[in-house]
Amino acid sequence: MSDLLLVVFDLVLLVGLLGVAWRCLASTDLFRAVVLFITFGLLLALAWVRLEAPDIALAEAAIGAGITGALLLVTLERLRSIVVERRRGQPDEPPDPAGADALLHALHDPPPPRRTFVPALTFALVVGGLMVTALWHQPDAVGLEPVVDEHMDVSGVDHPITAVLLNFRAYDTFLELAIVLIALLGAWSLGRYDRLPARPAPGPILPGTLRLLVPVAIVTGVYILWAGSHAPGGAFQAGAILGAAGILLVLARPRDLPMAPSSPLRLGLAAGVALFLAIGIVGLLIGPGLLGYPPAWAYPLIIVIEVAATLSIALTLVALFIAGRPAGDDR
Amino acid sequence: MTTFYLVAAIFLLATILLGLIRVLRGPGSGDRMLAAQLFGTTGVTILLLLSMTLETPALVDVALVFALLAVVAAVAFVRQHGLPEPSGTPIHQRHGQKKDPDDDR
Repeated sequence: MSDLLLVVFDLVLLVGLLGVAWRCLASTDLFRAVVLFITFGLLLALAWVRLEAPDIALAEAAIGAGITGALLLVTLERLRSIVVERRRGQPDEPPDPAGADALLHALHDPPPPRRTFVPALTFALVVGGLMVTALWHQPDAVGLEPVVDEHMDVSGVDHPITAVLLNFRAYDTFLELAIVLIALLGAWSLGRYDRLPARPAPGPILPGTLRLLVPVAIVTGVYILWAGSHAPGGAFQAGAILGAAGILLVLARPRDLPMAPSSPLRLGLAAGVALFLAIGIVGLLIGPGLLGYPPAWAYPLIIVIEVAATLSIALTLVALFIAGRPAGDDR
Repeated sequence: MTTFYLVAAIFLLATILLGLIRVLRGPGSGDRMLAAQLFGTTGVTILLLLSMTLETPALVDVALVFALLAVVAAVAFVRQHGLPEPSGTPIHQRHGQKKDPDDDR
């Protein structure tokens, strides 16, 4: 009975996912697309739960449903204020089909004329057919689970996912951290911090909410980091939660954002990658190979790397949210 | 009891799909955002029900994170699409923008 009900649940979830994804991509109103994207993140987290991947569900809940939604909303408002500014700049010119007006129309106005479905349908059929053929011949492999289980005693942690991410496949995690850092360098190279557009929010509700939420978010972030060694959790998820706390603080006072001192900020941003690399090189010099740890030291080293990575990820997410180097920082 | 939890989870998932009508139709941006916030709450409940059904205690953590972070989007929304900006604030002089009457979007 409950197997059948689970199948029903999965089917409803699948229909919802596909429908929301389709409406999100097809929506001409960008705000509606953003709200649909937030909904999509929520349904996707449920899908990861059903795929028995609570770690990914945790990351998706933190990043997909929370941070990305806020980021997209702020970006939309920024885009709007840029367009409005441009339009006010040249009031007497006739509307330019490729100019700011066109952009404003694209932001808010009704859809362009309907196109034919034939090319899209053909494309979907061909790609779908290829995927079915490719998956048809996949053998029913058990995956790497037995191998991981066999070596859990040398990994230093009790949670197989953390063991894979920070010990067996530390390369992947290291490079992921490097990519996050490079993304921030890319954002910073584009320019200086620009003031976030913000409306006044009168009344005690917003400050009160933040006062309650930010400490809870910090405690939860530290808890998720700590849980990573024996249960779903870990540096990326914890970093995302702490980053969300930082974003809440940014949103609380976008006008007079206190600027972080630049040297500690840079140190914190690079801490995860730097420490990971340093420990990896030490591993290379004393024996177990690049990014390998001596089994007796694995647990403390993994904890140290995770703490540094959490700090870096949280800071990077907040910095990416603000976008641009801190004002008055010309190094 | 498991069956009851699962039926409840399916029912809640169906209410999310029904609530999508508000997101798609609007009319105001507030309606859309509130629907998404409601989905967040429903999602927390579904996760808790699933954690009982599938006997995965870790899902409670996912529900906790969900409950915490759904607020971030709401706060961003209030900040960006809340009350119209009064003229004369610093950001106006920067962007040279006046009070916008169509801020219900």
